[in-house]
Amino acid sequence: MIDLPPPDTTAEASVLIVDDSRVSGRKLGKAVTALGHRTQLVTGGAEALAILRETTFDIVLLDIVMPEVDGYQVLSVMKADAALRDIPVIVISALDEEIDSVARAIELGAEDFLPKNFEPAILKARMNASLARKRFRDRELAYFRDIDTLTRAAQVIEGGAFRPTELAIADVAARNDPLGGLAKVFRSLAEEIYDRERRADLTVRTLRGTLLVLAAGSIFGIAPALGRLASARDVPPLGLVFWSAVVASAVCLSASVLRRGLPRLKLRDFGFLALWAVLLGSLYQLLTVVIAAHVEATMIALIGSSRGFMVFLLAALLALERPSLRRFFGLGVGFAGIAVVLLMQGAGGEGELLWQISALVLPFLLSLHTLLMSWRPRHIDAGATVGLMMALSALFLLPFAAAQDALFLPSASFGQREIIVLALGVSTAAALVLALELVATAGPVFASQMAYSQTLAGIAWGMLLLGERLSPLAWGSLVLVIVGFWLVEPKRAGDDFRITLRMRGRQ
Amino acid sequence: MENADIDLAALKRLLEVVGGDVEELEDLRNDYFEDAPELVRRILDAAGRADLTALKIAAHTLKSNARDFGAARLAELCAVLERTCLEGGPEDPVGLARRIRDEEDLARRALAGLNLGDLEGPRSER
Repeated sequence: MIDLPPPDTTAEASVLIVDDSRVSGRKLGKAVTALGHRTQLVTGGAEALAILRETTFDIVLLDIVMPEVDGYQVLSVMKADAALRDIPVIVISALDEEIDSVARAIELGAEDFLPKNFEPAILKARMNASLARKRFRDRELAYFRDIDTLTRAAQVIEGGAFRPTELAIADVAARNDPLGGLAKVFRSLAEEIYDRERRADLTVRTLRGTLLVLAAGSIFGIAPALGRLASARDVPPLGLVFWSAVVASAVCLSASVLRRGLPRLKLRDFGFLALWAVLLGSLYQLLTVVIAAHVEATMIALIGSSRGFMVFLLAALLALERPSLRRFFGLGVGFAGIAVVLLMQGAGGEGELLWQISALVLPFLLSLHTLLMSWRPRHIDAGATVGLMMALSALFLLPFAAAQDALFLPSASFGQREIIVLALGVSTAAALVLALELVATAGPVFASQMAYSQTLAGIAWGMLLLGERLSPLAWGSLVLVIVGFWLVEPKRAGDDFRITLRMRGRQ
Repeated sequence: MENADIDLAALKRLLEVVGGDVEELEDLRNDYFEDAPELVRRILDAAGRADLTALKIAAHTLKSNARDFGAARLAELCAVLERTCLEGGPEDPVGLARRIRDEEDLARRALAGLNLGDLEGPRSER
């Protein structure tokens, strides 16, 4: 039930006087001003309608008999206009022979009438009555508008995505009445729902991101072990990388085309794909296989953990991350761990040390790749993006492989070489698709944590496939890396997330 | 020349409407002095052209102004003209217009001769 207090009838009102007679208009203006209101006088109907559309008036005192646009026409136009129809109109009449005119004006929507030779007390009474009705109506309309605002806010919440600020109920909540109280409760509940859903959303995304970190890292960590296996079987690195790119491309593109049809490419997409193909599909893959021939897979994995620090360093330089003394100290500890293992393990010979130092290129390339993935074309799905990138990589590698006479033909009997090619191609395809999903879900800095799952997986794959063992020093170095990573404190997954709340069951 | 009777009670009511401000009343009278001859000219012109709409509107405005200033005879002539315009037009519009012209002239002279400051006392009867 609407329980509005009575409106203040003494408040100043803005009054438009429409009278073609200067004497009558001025007389009326003076009388209205004496009642404490503001007046504006116009001498014609057209002028009145023009000013009514530009300025807000609380009431109109309207002469009926005027040249050109008369009072009836003004009334008709006003009542047909939603913006003007609620302004009360008091028609001014000479009253003697104009009874019919007054009746017609009231039928057209005039609120009341006033004789030309009015008494000031009558003027005051009629104006106050009209203004009180108008103000009461205005408040009713405002009340219903606010109810409408609340209803729309409820629909927004019911419909799905919202932020409490987008509900636009601050004005309603500012009301000092029961409706305002309802709006406050409503807003408070909406904020509570939003916060709760946001926290749940973050938890789900963090869990999803963590699973992706584990999955992508575990799969990607197999590459050095496969490279080392290939090296032991004299598989030419260029040929291996070329054919594995062909396999990855075929797997991803066929899966993507089957699921979503042909991707729609734009010319500017090729810039990203070509850069990525050079950086990852060609250089990283080739260097992994080449370096794996000289450095144990477990060591490559351990050195690869420096990627987490490299991404942080690059992100800090690009202002994507907030650096601090603690974080830089962690960076130093992490790199110190890597340096210890490089220096002590590389003591066996200058060539070995150089190969181990060159293994640092791999995490550096992966750091660039992690940041680059943030700019991937969003209109192409992850499978197609990886497939196209690997196809371009194969194209880039083809002339070099041919020139080096490394372009072996896979055997139909499907021996160990073919298994290695297939495993490298499929694992690269799967890991990259998962990595793209990971960056899209949690952002590049969170995704850089893949370096650690990749390190652990690399060590595990090296032990499993190659029977390698890490020295106690290497394990100590790994502990230093983990401590450094803890100090660097990578962004919480949630900080990178773009929150879009969906109500349960409506997604 | 015949004198026009000015209803002082009407003038006092007008003074009351404008808040007892004699200067404002004098300004209003000056507006009347400027507007009335123009309205008469419009009545004569419309009567000559037998333009009943223009004749009715001008007569209506002059009637209101005349009433405000207590020019009862002028107001009555204007009311007759306005009413007959609504009923198809007067038999002799030009003659009636000329009578209005003469009466307005008398009323203006009578009004001009009044000292409006004298109205500030208690309201008098007609």
